[in-house]
Amino acid sequence: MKIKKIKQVQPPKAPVIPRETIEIAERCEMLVTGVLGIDEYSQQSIRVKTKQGLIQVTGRGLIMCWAGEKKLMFRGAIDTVRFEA
Amino acid sequence: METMLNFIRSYYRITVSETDGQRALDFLVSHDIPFHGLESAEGKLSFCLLLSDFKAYRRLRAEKRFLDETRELCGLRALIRRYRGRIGLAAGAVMALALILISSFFVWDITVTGTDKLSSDEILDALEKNGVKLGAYIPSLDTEKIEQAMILDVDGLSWISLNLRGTVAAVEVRERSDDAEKIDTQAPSNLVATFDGQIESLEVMGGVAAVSRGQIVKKGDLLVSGVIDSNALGYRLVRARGEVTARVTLTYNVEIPYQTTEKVYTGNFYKQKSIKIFSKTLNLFGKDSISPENCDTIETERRVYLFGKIKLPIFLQETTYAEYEMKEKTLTESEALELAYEQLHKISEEDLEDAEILARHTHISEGEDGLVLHEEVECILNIAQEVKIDTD
Repeated sequence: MKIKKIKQVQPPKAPVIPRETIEIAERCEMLVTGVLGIDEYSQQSIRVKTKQGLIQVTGRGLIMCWAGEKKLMFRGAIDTVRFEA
Repeated sequence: METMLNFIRSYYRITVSETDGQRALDFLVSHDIPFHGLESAEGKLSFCLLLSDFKAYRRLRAEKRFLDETRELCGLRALIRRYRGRIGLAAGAVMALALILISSFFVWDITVTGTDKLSSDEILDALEKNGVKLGAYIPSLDTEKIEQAMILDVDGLSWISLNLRGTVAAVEVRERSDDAEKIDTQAPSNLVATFDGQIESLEVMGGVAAVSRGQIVKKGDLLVSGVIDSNALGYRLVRARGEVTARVTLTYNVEIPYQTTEKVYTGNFYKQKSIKIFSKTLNLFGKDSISPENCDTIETERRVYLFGKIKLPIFLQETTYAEYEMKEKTLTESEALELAYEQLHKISEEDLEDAEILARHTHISEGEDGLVLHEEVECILNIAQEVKIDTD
């Protein structure tokens, strides 16, 4: 007797946007998760898009590093962190 | 470390105009393309993508480029691509690396320290017999066995240590001191006379004196006996020890002929150069004008240093053959006499080393063919010689 195997269909993988979190270490390092895009980049000001809105980081000598899926690390002298809707 | 890893993995450095920089970064972040090495200078923004990420970037961009975008391959792949036509360079680099690795298994240098009376050459010759030489295969050297063998092979060695430090064999030795000479204090012996003479003094520390002061003795006569006969214990054998000095007359004769042959150099030289790598010698060139039969050989060896400090196992050898011929020579009387005295001194030196010389009577007789120097030396010296008693 033949046993028919039913092929399991995997649902399409939808990108999961992680929860937005911000970690700041000693005002020179900042990790932001849930980043959707870059709105502005310069060594004095970086503005990133998240699900909740925009985050602007200002300071001096700011550099940006990719830190994982939807994660960015900012390094430099951070003066202000501003949240915009 | 991360830089080195990125170099080995290779990456693309993408440079865009600063005005488009934000759009480029936004593109990367929104598509989750990992990037690193972000730099901003002179109106340009640049970032690096690993090869796999660059493929994804290029596919997503569908060959569209940002303003003034340039893409440059960096890292090991770029290096290989640049020099792919120069196979010799790569082959040379691989060979050099292989040679360095292989050569670390062979002895490049041998250093000997701690020698005093023994010469370094003696130690090196003995080491060579035991397998330690330039070019020796290091894993095959059993240092403990070699050290034990060296103690037995080299007379005068008290202790030796062989350490293999990288490609250098460091040998440290300690020589046996003269005071440590092994004396068999148990073997019975007699003291006999080595010369004819009249006994001057006796100092007996073991055995029984068989002669007395003023007695005339001949060579071989018993001076101190190692056989002690007592009524209580019977006879017993001991080691005779002591010093017996006597007045002796030593006679020496030296004959020097006037006609002699001497070596005269013709002034012709023949040089042969060679290179020695480890222990293999390679002759470079040389002429065949002079046969080395009637030649004295002078060999010089010079070691090659890298930057004047690093010793290499390479030696430049130069062998010089100096041609000579044997010529007849007639000595003058004074020359013959000088030669006679020299020979006399050589033959009498050992006998008279510790002697108290009382008088010397020298007689010279000259003949047609040569000169005879006859000397009688009256002296006082120790004539006692230890002779073991055979107990078998």
